[in-house]
Amino acid sequence: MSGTTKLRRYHAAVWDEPLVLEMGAPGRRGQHYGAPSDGIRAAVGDPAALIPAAMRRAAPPALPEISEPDVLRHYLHLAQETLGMMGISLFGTCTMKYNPRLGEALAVDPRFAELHPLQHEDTLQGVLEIVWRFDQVLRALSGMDQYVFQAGGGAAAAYTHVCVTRAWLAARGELGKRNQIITSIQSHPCNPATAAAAGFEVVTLMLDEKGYPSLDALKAAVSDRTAALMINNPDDMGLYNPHIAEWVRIVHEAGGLCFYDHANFNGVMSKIRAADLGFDACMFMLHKTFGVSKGGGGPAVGAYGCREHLVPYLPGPLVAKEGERYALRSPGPHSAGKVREYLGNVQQVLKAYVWARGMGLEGIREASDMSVILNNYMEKELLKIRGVTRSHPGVDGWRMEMTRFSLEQLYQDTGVSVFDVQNRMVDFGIDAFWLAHEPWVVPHPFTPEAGEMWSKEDVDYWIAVLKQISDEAYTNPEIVRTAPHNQAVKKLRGESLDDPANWAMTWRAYRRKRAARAG
Amino acid sequence: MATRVPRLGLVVNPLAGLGGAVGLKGSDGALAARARALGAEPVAPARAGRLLRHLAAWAPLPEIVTCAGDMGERLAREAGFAPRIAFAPAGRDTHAADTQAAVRALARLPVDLLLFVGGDGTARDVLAALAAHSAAGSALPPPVLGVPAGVKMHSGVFATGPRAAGEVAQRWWSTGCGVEDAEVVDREPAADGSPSGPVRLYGALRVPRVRERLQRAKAQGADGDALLEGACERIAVLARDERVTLLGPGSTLRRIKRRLGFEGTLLGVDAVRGGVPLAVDAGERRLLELVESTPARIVVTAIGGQGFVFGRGNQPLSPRVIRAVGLENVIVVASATKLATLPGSALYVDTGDPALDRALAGHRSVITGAQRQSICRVRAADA
Ligand SMILES: Cc1ncc(COP(=O)(O)O)c(C=O)c1O
Repeated sequence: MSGTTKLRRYHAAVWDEPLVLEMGAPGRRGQHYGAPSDGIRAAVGDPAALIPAAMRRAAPPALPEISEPDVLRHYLHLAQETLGMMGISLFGTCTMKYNPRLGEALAVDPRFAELHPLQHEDTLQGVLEIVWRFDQVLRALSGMDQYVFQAGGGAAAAYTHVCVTRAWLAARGELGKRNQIITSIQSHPCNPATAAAAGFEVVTLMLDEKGYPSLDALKAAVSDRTAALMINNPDDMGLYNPHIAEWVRIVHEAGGLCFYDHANFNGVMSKIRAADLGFDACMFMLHKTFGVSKGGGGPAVGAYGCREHLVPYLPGPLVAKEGERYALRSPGPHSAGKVREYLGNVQQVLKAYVWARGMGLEGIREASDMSVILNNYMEKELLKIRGVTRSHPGVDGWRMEMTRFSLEQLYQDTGVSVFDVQNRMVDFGIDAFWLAHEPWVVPHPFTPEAGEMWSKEDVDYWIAVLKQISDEAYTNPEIVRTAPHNQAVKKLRGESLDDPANWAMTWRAYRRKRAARAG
Repeated sequence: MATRVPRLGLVVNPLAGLGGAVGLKGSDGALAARARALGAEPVAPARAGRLLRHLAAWAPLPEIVTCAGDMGERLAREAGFAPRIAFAPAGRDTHAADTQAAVRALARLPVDLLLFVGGDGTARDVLAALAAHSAAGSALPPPVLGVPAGVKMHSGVFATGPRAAGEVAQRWWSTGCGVEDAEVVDREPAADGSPSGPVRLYGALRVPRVRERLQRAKAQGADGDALLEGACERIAVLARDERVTLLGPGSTLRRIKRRLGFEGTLLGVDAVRGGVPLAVDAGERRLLELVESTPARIVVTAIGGQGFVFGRGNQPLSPRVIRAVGLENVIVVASATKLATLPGSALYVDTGDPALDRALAGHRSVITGAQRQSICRVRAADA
């Protein structure tokens, strides 16, 4: 790092914006239209009659009455008060990628956006072809035999897996007998959570000195009650378990299925294939690895893929190619049933397809290398910063596309916690960092992930900000502890957020709770 | 919560931490003098000062009640407080007896929260003083919170640092979030004061129920607690069957005992059958009688910060008792948070019978929830 990175002066816009429901005045309108002329009325009839009687409301909705420019101004203000994913975001485990405008444009193209999922499949050939083609892309990357895109996120794909596992067990007469799912303390919490939700007992493996569970721990866990293994690799500390094929063999020998949570795929894209390692099923996050928007940018997709022997248990419909035609097919009587309606968030599949075609296999391979190289560059620089250490300091060797760092030393030295540092980051116009999934095995953790799309300048800026905050912590800790200072919203008192009396998900609830408090 | 200002008691053990800097394992008794001779500086005053500066920034200001001189007054004045003095040590050098007398004086006042600055030894003095306070039939003793300043800090009563202690106190006062039990553990000192014995569980103190409190609960945010309730219920269901269930010491096991409807012991081993207590605080002989002719099981947890399952504080569960019950009938229960924060996630056994330790070692399942278990490595402590 050159050491000359200049920190920008930054301040978020502060509008103190009211809720839209608190705005407006009776009778105010976006636009006023005159009554239709006689000619128009003669041609189309009464405009109100165009709405079927059954769909007409008895009373108008209680919407705020606001002019069009006021509406636009309101949402512009709100947009200005967010970082809007236009800061540098190295939010680890989430693989924050740029969402190419091309994909976004195609997804809102009326030829796509106005399709109805219940149209006859003869009139859906284009979208079915895209789904089918993208399925082929993922098959090539994983060695699996069939994908479904119904799951609306990674956790939903993990849930798909436990449903498929249940259907598979039921078909073999083993449901209830094989009632345990094995996972590790470093697996994403959605793995144990979905296993428990589906009625399985969760068996968690702890880590040994190498940073992943030992083979002996796995051997102690498997039995004739093992239904499945659900595991990620590398984990979100960036440690790759090199014995993973052996793990799969042990679980298979015990009679269980193996599911690969491939959320952390970026560092191994095109390097390994889940099926080659023996896995029965895996998931990819289109909203992470495949350049699709997420969070406020749009819904997510957890692409779930499996080998031939599990296809009968998949949720349907599946998209198949029959001659020159694309068709919707039911997986059959053993299907686990739907996890979401229709084909899922199919516009996101379109965007992922655009991304994959744009990258090509060569591009994907290069992106994978870059993400690992950039992380290791970053790691080297971050470890020079006072108060920063990394997890498992005794484990030599490269971390993959992420490294789990710790600010424990900074906290012990200065009393500045990882939350304080997180709050201070945003004062420099960059997004707060990710800490770690729970439970924390490293105190005061943080986990940046550079991926392949942030430039070296961006990453250097990020490093320079952390360096600045470390300096502040050692010289003027108060400024960090009271951050943010340059944001639209100041430091929140976290404990009041734990209290349902203090938050509301709807306007109605907001009014009710506010009245209750006033009363 | 309350609109009045909190009255905070403060006891500083001025010698705490003295030994650490010069490589001694504590500052108890004779060790303090040796540490001084080696040129050691105490760490407690600086830590207490930091806590007081946090308290001085509260609005409104809390009321501080403390002890004369180095046990609190001087530092409180430096931080801008005009503290009330509840106790004055007799000499310049303070001793464990001074800490205990100070705690008793503050508890009598009473105070809303008792903050003490020290290590495990100081925590034991606080425990002893408050036990005497309760035994004297006085009102419920105040909750306490430790500011870590000692050499040994294995007990669960400490905040992560002086400022964190201030935050916990503030949080606790402003949200009214209640109290819970935390364990006091320490190592037995030898004649020269250096800790030589095994880690022992001495008892429990009531501490603010604030998530960020525990030193060991570094897996902050993980709500291990809700899961642990499920684990406790799972064991309670077992303990209602026809087998004899031996329930070891510790606050996790006490939750189970309370679930079964009896108070049980924190430090001892209790036995139940059909959910009904058969023996409370039983010795080895009584346990052997109970399990001789009836199928039985043993339920234990990992005690203290080191993950000992046998051989620390549960000696009545002797090698003979464990063998009579059968190794396959030993159940370990612990919160997932506790396991995640044990160094290397390892559990230890030290029954005094090396062959038994070896047989218990290996990977074992630990119950962590109603539908959850973790596989942990169990090691023979002496191997
Ligand atoms: C390894 C891993 N698995 C699963 C998930 C869950 O994905 P989602 O947030 O899309 O539900 C995540 C999210 O961070 C993850 O990192």
